Amino acid sequence: MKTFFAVARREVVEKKFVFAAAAVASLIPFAVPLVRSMSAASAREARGFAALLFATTVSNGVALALGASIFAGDLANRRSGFYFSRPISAAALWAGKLAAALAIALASVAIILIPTFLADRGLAPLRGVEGGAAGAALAFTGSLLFVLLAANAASLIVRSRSSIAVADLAALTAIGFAAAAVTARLWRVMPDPPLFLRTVLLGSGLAVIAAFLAGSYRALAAGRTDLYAAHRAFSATAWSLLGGAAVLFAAWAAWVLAAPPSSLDSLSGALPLGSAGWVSLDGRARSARAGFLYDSRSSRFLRTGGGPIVASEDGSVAAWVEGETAVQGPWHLRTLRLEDRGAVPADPKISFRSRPELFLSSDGDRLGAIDFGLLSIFEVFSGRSLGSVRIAVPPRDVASARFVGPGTVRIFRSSIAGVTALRPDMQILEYDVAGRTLAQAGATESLPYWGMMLINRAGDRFVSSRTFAGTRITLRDARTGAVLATLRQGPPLRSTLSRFLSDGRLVLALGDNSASWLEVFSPSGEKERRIEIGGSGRLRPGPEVAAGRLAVAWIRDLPGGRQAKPVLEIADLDRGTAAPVADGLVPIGDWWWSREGPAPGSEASKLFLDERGEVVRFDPPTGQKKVVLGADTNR
Amino acid sequence: MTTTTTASLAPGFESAPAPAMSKEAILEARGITVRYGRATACENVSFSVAPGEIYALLGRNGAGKSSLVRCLLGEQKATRGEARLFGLDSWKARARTLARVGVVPEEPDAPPAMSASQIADFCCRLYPSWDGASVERRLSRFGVPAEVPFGRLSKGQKGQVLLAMALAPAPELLVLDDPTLGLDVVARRAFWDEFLEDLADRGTTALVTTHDLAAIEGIATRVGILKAGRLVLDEEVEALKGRFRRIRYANRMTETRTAFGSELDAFEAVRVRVRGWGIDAVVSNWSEGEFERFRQIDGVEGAETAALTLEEIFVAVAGEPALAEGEAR
Repeated sequence: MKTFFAVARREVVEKKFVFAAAAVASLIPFAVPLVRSMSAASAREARGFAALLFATTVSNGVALALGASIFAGDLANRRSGFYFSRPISAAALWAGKLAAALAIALASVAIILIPTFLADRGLAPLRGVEGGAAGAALAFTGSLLFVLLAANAASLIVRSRSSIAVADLAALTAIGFAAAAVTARLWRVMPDPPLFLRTVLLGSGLAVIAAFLAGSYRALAAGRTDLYAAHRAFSATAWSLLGGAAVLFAAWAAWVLAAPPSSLDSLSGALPLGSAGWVSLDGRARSARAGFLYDSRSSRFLRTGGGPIVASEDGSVAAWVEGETAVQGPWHLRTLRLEDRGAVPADPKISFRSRPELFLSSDGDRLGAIDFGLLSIFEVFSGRSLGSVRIAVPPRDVASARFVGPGTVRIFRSSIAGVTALRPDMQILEYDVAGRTLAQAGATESLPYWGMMLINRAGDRFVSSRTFAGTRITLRDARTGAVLATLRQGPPLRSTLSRFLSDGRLVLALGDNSASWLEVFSPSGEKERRIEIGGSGRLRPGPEVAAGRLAVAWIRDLPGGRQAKPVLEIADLDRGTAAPVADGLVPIGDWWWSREGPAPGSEASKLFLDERGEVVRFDPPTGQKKVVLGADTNR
Repeated sequence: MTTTTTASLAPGFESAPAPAMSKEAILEARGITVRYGRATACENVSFSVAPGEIYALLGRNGAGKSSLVRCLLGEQKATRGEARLFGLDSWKARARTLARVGVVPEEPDAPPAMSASQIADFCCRLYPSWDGASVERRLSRFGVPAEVPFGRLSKGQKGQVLLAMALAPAPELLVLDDPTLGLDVVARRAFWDEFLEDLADRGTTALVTTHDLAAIEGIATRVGILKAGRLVLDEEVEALKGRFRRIRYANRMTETRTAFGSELDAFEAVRVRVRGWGIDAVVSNWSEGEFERFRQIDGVEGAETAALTLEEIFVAVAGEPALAEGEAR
């Protein structure tokens, strides 16, 4: 320690002229406001900026100059023998010189900033800086250390004039490209790409600092008075450490990208695709955004870019888009034949500016996409465009569409009026794919958000629900928008979910502050019966586990706004009874909003999520329950 | 015409035999080889310096002296072999062992911006014992201004400052790497006087590399000669001077003598020059008895012998004579 301080003190004493130069520079900011007449506040700003500018410039210049000279300069000028012929350990010499250089650079910052700081009682440009003064100081110190070490490395390489410099350049290029390639791959799946990039840059900076610190120490300890040996030691140490870091980074990236669906630790979406057992899973796995197509029968899975996946009604085709990043386009279409066990995702070479809303024809041969208000129809696997028409002007309009036959697309378009959440009238349009013509077919009166409606499988009816000064739920003709039946009109309800059944009937899952119940309606909208489920809470209607038998999860309210463990009940819609069959299970999927559920009794109708987010196969008649995708599967 | 002939070196001079290492040796070189790329600075050099010895390591420019010294001080890693100081590995235990060593380098390497007093102030924090008064005394005696930056001192003054710093911690070993290189006669004299005074006071052990052979001759107790990177001689000075002699004689044809050239066979002739008046040879195994027998050889006339200076021995051993016309080996 004694020798460390002796070395550091010697360095500081030798470079004390820097302090004098900084003292002179500290006065310059006071002259800046004199250039133009300014208000006091503007003068403070100008002074503050000038002081920060000078401090940054001078300190980085000092770090650059000292970095280039403290070690390599002594070696090249044959002055390192002065230290190495004395009882100074390499560690003390290295640490003493480095600490002194950093201290000199930091002291120059302080000397320049202090007069302005005292005069203005702070530095105006720094007020309100995120992370505070301590964070800024730490970041600045890190950047100075980086400059110091980088200058030392460059100086050593240049001064040694050895052929190792070629290897240095090759190593730097290889490591840089490898890190960039790995970053680019991860960038696509990270939930917050800018944050990830900042983290990578920070991590890279720290890795370079650590590698160059170790390299500069090894250069001094192993090279001593031999410049060539110092260069060799630096290169071997620094590049092996950085190379090792790059390999670790690549290994981590490979591990992240190879995450199986069982590693999903935060499930943000689970959706049955068709009735055969395919499930779309969306969430985070190993810190990255991950989407999967998962076959609950075979445990086969395929990773997607995350985000919504749509499937044809017959369950034969799935389609989705993958962006350049998890949140940024352009978005490239991918399709997969679900029934072909060996199929791999197809790339029809179709890209979109924004994340489009996709929908498939019932047989999966055609795909519709709404991208920035433009409706386009494609043949799924050839990628051939069948037609394109502008149906909305975003952001004023929002639109949704679906095939109502192979050649017709029905479009539901609303416009946003002002800042209110309510939309004006919804227009129903039809696009004839063969004739490439667009015509208005119908309209509705003011409806709330179009997503609050549920369209049946045939696409000829829909349920709309409006909760505004009361709840009004209507069954409508999907072509004209005409009201076929008013299913409910009355005081506001807490929960108003609906569900078309396989036989054309309709179920509403309703709840208020005292009770939760189901109401069953005929296909034409006549009420058949009410089935009580329980007290206050929320109902999540699920699939028909058999014709006329609906799974529904009841999540009871607890005091303090908490919710109880879900209770899965099976409602016999014909008899008007309901009985609990399992605890902790909820129906998989969010299809009660806008999609049809799987066929009654199908593999998909038996899939539920448990409290841990595991996909569970549950057979109500037998009570058999098996985790098909969870923490203990597919690992 | 003068014909210069160099006899082949005695077998022992091709590479001095590795000495048996004393357990008490203060400094040891064990088979040290230093290479810079394809160039070899020194090859398999072994010798040791015992306590109290003044070891003069001699060699022509580029013979590998400085590389060897840096290895011995742990400043540079030998390509092969090992250097030991006070029984410890010089490379590994450099900082520990150098607390007992004073070093004057070939090139004055102190930071040019530091004055002698600042250098002393820095150095005094590094050594367990530091005689600051001796530094002041010596600087004063040398007439070196203590506050003038090192870089602005004359070469002689720089050497004197570094000697003062080397002697201040009262080292057990002094390593002087050609310390008088480039100094004028007066500065050289002052330097050696100071060195001698310290030797007289404390009996310091020293390793000295120098080209100032006249000065070191009276100081060194042992000498090693490096030639093209190899240690070709390692011996006590007195013994060396005892066995190296110059022999001058004239060769005459007699009735019984029909050939020349074999009269020196009994000696290990290091160098033989044929001059107009006769033969001038330097031999490395001179002895009184052998010389008496030599004088009796038929045709050898006027044989006389003379002692050699260290410089003459060095030239004979390490010199590469210009090849003259008619040279024979």
